[in-house]
Amino acid sequence: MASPSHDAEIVEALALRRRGRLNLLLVALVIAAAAVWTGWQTGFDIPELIEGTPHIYNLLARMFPPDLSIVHNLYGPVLETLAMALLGATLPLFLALPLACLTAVTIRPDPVLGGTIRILLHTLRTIPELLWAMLLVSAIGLGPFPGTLALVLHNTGSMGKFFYETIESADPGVIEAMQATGANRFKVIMFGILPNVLPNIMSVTLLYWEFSSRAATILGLVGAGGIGLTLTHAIQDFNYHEAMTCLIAIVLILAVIDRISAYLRKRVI
Amino acid sequence: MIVVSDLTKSYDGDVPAIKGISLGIAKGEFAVLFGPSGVGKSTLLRCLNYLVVPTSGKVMVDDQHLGDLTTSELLRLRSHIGMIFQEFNLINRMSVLVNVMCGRLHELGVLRALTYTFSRQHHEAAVHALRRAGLHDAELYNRRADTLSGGQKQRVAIARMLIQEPKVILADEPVASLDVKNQHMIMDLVRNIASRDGITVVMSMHHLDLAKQYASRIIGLSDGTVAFDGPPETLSDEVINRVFKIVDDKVVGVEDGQS
Repeated sequence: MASPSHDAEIVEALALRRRGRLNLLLVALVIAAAAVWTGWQTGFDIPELIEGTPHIYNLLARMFPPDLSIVHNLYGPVLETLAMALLGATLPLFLALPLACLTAVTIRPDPVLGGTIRILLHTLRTIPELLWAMLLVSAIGLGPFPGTLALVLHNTGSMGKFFYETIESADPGVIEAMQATGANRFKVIMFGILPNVLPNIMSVTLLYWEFSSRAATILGLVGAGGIGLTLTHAIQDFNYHEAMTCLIAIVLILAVIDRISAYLRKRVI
Repeated sequence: MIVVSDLTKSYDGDVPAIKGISLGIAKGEFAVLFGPSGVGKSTLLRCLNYLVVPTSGKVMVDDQHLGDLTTSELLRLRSHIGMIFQEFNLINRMSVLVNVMCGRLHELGVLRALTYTFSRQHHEAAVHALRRAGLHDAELYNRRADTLSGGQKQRVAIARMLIQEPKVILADEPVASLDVKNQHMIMDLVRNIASRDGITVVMSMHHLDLAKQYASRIIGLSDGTVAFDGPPETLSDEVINRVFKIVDDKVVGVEDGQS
């Protein structure tokens, strides 16, 4: 049975397999080296963590029990946080969707305009919300408005990318069918694209509502409104019982929003 | 009705999909573009309503040079050229009625398009078109298009084309995704509509049996050029073997096996 050509195939198969294993080993080595370097670079120190454990206990002890007497003071900041997150995710929907239609390669009216918008969206999302908030607080002052604007800018960039990728992957057959009826570009988008990409768009918007809620709770660190501001003040005043109450409120808000978002996402798909 | 002269289309400087094709198709003809896949049938068909813009050559439909038209003139001409497809290309998440009314998108106002609203007259025309396409069940009209069977979907697509009151019907492999029973149903439907209203039909197809049965004229394409052009009676097996060297008996046999 074993002809010479057969043997040659076995040899080749073995050589290929050896090369594959060698590649895998190389990848594993690179990952391990990266782990060691990043640990060293960031001063990651297990003994220090163990030595610090008593201090953590100490901090926790100072935080407990949470000061529930300030709960009625938190209603305002909590509502503000929720409003910031909601507007921070819904307003970008109306900004990002038209921009995505102008830049999606399958339907963009002009490649130069499309390319420019792509760069704009990229810039918007590369700058994190917190950084936007710092810049905007410096520019227009403290409060929830610069915070919300920060969310809107960052989310427009991020959601815009998701949207144009969704649009680009939409069924070209339906687009063609709409074009064949003599529909102009606007109507092709309205009928040939939007109905098909709507579940995806709703899902992405809900996801960014969750992200925005998380971000909105910390924007207060730079003075951009929300419950984060209350938390920052409590920590600055060494009032750890109040800080604990804020933390509990934040965890509760985020847990509830996660559940609502998950429920709604199931409904739209 | 349709005049094509010296038409060439190449994608991104590649080998041309169609090379210097010249044709005239008279009003009321049922012309089938025949040939194996990849010979430029779809490209030629899409040049007839400028969904694909040819690299060179001229296309004339209803005495209008498509290349000379402004965008809005082209859209108006397209609104009277019906088109159906292999995969039906319906809007899955919308109702049957809305899908049919999309045939009138050309005349729909911006505000109506933005709110997905059609007039009462559009609804009436849609129901009329659906009945002509053989769908009489009113319950079905408000169902989502993706709940329909393949045969029903193609009927809805035909209704969408009928509501355009087309002068020309372009059909891109309209029965290739259907079973044998539905293939004949759809072919009968298209032929009856076309002959009653005097509509010119251009249909791409790789089923030889169906092409011979329904076409008044068969245009055989091979390697981007016209290799045969004549009534179906003159397309003998001998001609097929001689002209379509790519289509050996076996390939044709497999496809015939379905019908």
